Formats: sequence, C-alpha cells, structure tokens
Amino acid sequence: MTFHTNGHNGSDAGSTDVLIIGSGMSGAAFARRLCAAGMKCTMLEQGDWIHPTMYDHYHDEFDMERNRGWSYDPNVRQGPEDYPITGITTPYLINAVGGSTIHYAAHWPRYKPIDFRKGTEHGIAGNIDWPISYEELAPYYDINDAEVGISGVHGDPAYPPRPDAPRQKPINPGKLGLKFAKGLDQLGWHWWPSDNGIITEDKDGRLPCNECGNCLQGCPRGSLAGMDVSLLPKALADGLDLRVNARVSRIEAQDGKATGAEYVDRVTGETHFVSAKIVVLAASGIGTPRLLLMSAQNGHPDGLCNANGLVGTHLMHHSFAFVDCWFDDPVQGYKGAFGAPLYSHEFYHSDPNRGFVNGMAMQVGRSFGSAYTAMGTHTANIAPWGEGHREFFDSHFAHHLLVFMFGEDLPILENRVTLDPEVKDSDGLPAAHIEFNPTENDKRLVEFGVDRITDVANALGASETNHTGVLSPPPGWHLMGTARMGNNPEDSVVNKYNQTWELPNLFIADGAALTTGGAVNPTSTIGAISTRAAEYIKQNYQEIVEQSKTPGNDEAPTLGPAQGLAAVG
Amino acid sequence: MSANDIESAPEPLGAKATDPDPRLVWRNEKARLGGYLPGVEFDEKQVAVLNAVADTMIPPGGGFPAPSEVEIVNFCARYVTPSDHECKYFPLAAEETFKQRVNGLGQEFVDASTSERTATIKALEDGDEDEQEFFTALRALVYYGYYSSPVVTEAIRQNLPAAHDYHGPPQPYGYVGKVEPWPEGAFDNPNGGYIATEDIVLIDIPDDIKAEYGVK
Repeated sequence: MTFHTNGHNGSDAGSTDVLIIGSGMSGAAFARRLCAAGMKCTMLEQGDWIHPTMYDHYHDEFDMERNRGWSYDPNVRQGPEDYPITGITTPYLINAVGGSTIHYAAHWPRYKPIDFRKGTEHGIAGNIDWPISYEELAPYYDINDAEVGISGVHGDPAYPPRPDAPRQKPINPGKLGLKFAKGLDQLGWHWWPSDNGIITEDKDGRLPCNECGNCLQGCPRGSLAGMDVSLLPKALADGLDLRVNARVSRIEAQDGKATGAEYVDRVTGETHFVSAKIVVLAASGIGTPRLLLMSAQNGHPDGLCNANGLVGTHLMHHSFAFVDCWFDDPVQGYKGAFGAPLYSHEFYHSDPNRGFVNGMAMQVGRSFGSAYTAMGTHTANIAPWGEGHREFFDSHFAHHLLVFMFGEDLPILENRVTLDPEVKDSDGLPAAHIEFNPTENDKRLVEFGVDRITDVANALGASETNHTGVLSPPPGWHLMGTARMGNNPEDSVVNKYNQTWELPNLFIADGAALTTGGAVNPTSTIGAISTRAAEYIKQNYQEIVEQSKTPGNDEAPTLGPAQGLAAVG
Repeated sequence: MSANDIESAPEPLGAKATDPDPRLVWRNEKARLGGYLPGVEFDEKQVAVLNAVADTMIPPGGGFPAPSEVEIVNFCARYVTPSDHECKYFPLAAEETFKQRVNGLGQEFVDASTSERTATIKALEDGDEDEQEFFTALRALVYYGYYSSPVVTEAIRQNLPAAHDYHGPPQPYGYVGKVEPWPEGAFDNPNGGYIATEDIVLIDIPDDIKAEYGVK
C-alpha cells in the first residue's frame, strides 16, 4: 500500500479551534454547543444545501421519485456529492447539509439501560459493555431533545422516566396506529406512542407537521428534525464557519495529534487544508471509517486510529424484515406523519428460551401513495396486471398497515467497512466497501419477530399478510459500530468521551462510535453522545489540546453537570 | 481559544462561483424531478403501442379511466432516458433500446384482441433476460404513470371509500384534521417494563450460539 507522507498538499485555508467533518446529527450537535460557547468552529460538508423546492412532495410523481434522485441509496442517486459504496450492502445515507437527517423517519427512541451492558448480559461475539451507563447519558438525551424538538408522550413503562425531556404533543396515530395498538392490547403486549423528531407545534420558525406522510423523502416544511433546519441555523448564527461542497480527503496527524484536514473544494477543484486544535469526525458509520482508512500516513500505516485493526469492523445495521398487513376495513396509511406512530417493546429483552440473544421492536410505519401500493408496497407484493389489477388495487390501497421487524444485530468483526481501491468517487478517492452478512442469531431473531407481528395481525383479523423474511443485507438506514466506544485501546477506537485512543484531539461520536445498536433507531443516541462529548470539550478544551496521550476512562478529566443551551447561549 | 470571527469565515451558504460553475452541470446530470424535459418523442405508432400496452395492463372499469385517457405516454416520455443522457436512473429504460422493443410489438399488437395482447405481454414477462427487462420497465412506467395522474387520484377518491380523502402529492395540503388522534385515556393502562442497570446479570446463552460466536 502506498500512502501519503505526513504533510498535506492543500493551500492554507485557515485555522480553527474545532474542525468538524460532517453536518449530520453528530456534527451539528458539536457545532451547536461549541459555537454557543464562543469557540471558533469550522465544518466541512461534502454535499450542499437542500432547498425546499428540491423535495418531491409537491409532485404528482412523488412515489416514482423515491427510486431516483430521492432514493435513500447513494448508489442509486449517483450524485456528484455521493461516494460509491460497493460490496454486500444496501447503504442508506445522504450527503448534504444536515447529513442523513435530511430524509429519515426521525423516530426518536432512546437506548435502554440494558443496551449499555451487553457485555455483562451475554458478551456474545463482539459485544462489550459501554464505558458509560444509561444514567450517565440521560441528561444529554434531555438536552439534545430540547434543542432538536421532539414530540411524544411521557410515561412509557418500558423506559426509565425522563421528566426533563420536553415533549410536544405526539403525532396522530390515525386508523393505522389505533388499529395496531388495539391488536397489541388484545394480546396484553406493550406499546407506546413513539417519540419522534417531528414537531407538532411551531418551533424556531419551523412549521408543525401537516401529516403528509412523506417524511422519508424529507420535509420542505422543516417539521422533520433535519439538522439543516434545527441545530445548524443556530450554530451559524453563533459563527459556525460552514463550508459546503468541501470533500475531506484525509485527516492529518503529527506527533500523536490530529493537526487538521485536507479537503477538495468540489466547486473550484482546489485542495485546501484547515488546521485545527481539535478535529471531530462525524461522517457516519460508513464515511467515518472510510476517512480514517483513507488517512493512512507515516506512523499510521493502516489508517488513523487503526493500530488495533478495529476501524471499520463490528458494523451494525439492525436486523430487519418488513411485514405488510391488509385489512378489510379502512386503514388509510397514506396519511399521517411517518416517524413511527407507536412501537412495541414487548420482546425487547433477551430470553434464552427463544434460542437467541437480544431482542426486537415492532415499529409501525405508513404506506406512501397509490403508485407504491400498485408496485408492491414494502414487500414486493406487486399488483397483477391485466384482469385482476383493479380488484387487487382497490382492496389493498388504504387498507394497508406496515410493521418493521427491527432487531438488535450482533457486532462481529467480519461485518465491516473497508476501502475499494478499484472504484473512485468524483474526486478520485476510493469507494467504501462493505461486507455484511446477518449472523445465525440475527436470523433467528428476525424469524421470531415476524411471527410475533403476524400474531398481532391475526388477532386483528388481517385479510392478508406478507413479509420479506430476513433482509440480507438489511437496509442500511443505521450505520453503527465501526469506530466504537469502549473500555481500553484494545477493545475499541474511542474512549468514554469519544476521544480516539490514538489521537487525543480527534473525536468520533457519530453512529460509528456506538458500541452496541440496541433495537432502536440510533439518531437520538448519536445526538446524546455528541452533546456529551461537546460538553466535555467545552469544559476541558485547554487540557485536551495539551494532552499528548488519550486518557484512560478512569483518568480522563471530569465532566461537570450538563447545561442546556438556555444557560450557555 | 479564540472568539468567533464571522467576518473571516468563507461563505456559509455556498462556495464561491466559478466560471463555468460546475453546480450547473451537476444539477443537469442529476435525476430531474418530474423526469426529463423535453422528454423522448414517440411517433404515432409507438404512441399507439404504448397506449395499448398500458390499457392491457390496467384495464378501465369500476369508475377508473383507461391509461390511454390519462396521457400515460406523456409520463413514459419523461421517464425513458433520452439518448443524449446516460441511462442510469430508474426505470433504466434507454430511448433507443426501448423504442426498438416498442417497435417490435408494432401495429400487430395494437390490432390484437385483449387475450392476444395479454399473451404477448405474458411472453415478455416470462421471456429471456432482455424481454423481462423490457417488461419490468414497461410495468413500472405504466403503474407509476397511471397512479401519478390527477385524474386517477380523483377516481380513487370517488370510488374507494377507504381513500375518500387521498389527494396524491403529499404537499402542500398534508392531511391536517384528517388523521385520528389518540383517544382520551389511551395511555392509562400500559404494559411493559425495563431492566434497571443494577439488575442486569449474565443470562443463559444458547449453546450453539455461544459455540459459533464465542463469548467475550
């Protein structure tokens, strides 16, 4: 392998206190907090702003556009800002200001206490305990929730209480949500209305959700918690130096410290270098390891922070199957905020009697538009053409209910992100390459979960059900574990404050840093650990800058009480 | 630590313009919302074939119009990739190849009975790789095109009681006031619980899982 010598090629593009690479949930949480504290922050984003007129919501063809420019998959969109991702994968991410919060369900569940202790619970495969507990992270969930704007209902018995997390009124369930809740009640199983990063009341100039049902294509109203409309405008107002179309080609290290990053200005084609006292890498569970591996240089022959070979490994996506259910009575899944109107964590916890470890969530979704029904809904149940078409369509559209079988997958070394030197992005940088295969444990979990969802559908008298079976590879909405937080330099890439073990002033707190995946969407946890790490930087900036070695988890500077931005901004 | 220095920051809303500005090219190369404009031009015979295919795939009736009545060919024209563009977006139908296939069906298909047309389309569906590819693109164009039509959306409203308020494009109207809320008392008797941090203990692990993946 050839790699750069230390020393960058780019022209001087200034210096900054904190350089943040990526503008999604993690990068935005750092920027919001550190800019509010008066720190000089520069953010590099390889994509550009998405203007409200660029969404497909006003177009008759909105169902069609989901397969094209508004695909979740960068390999389908093929935009110049996207980088190719090869291998066994269906990657879902977007490169734009706001990152993948531009279009997502914005379902906003937290991890549970058990999710931080999988090493203690069973330690199967790559499972280790997090170096922090739910209780340590809870105040940062609260802070980030308050700043982003979350709707939901307090009181879920499946979680510790969270009285300090403000909640707007929940999204409406519609016939769809009410029906599935009824089925769960019939079986005596847990359910609760979901927390969602979807505002239902005005907030900071953003319009409340008008229940159009197209959240997964983004939100031109700003109701969905895209970072471009929630945290970043405030960071910009506080002085964030945001550079768009700025594609980072490598992070530079010298004498055990990160010194900054080299990037290509995609508009001018010029290469620049930003010097920084602290670098935050927040490019997603795929982009982050890709950039670390691309940054191989003297002293770091296998990539930055990869002396232990863990960068890119333990990739988790969550195990998935989709279950479509149809009923004779109206369900009207074409309307209502997608998010998740409700979920069931009845089978969230491990039960060894089932023949596998870990658990799953049932997460209720929506149905999209009429063309989506004709084209098979979520499980390729395509309407027949010809004589039977009308009867099929008329009995399926507006009679459909989707439930995601959503399980915690095992973190294993073999499921990983590497570089593909044979395929390049539009600036000649290597593609990410992914190998991902569900484990036997994952498969058993999915099969169990599909059966339980079917139990609910049957209890409700569904006229028809259809499911995907174990999706392999699973849809890559959630990109986790590839630079994980851990207990020592041997079992992980970052310490409990998200400092990389190799470079104390390089922080990673995006999905890559998640030690385990839980059976919940990760964005709220990414926001919480990023808020916590940012608070750590804010309180200990000088000490961190002077550190020559990353402190062990027991030696790190203390972190004082968390402060909401009302106190610091 | 230095204070924020807003004046020295490069333009936060975009990099400086260059000549030529590559962003214009990028926007041109991306999948255009609504398909290509101008779209592909089909001749009269091709229009007749496409209408016949569409009307066979989605027969009119039950209050629903025929695809040929809702300008299905206009939709096809926008979503077939013109020959001067790289064919890289769904439904991956390149103008030249697509037209060749349509021409291959020809007037004979247009003049055929419904059962004969059905047999021809079925043969494509079950045919070799190229034929299946053509069928898949045709079906996608017909289904997405038909159900994108405001006329069909109105037919859905009029004829399907379950979808009486469906209005097609999600915005600008959304469905405010048309999505049922949680009823009073819905959360009064919840089920469920969680394991507190201090109560987490080692569980019995299935032997075969332990053997296959090991335990840290």
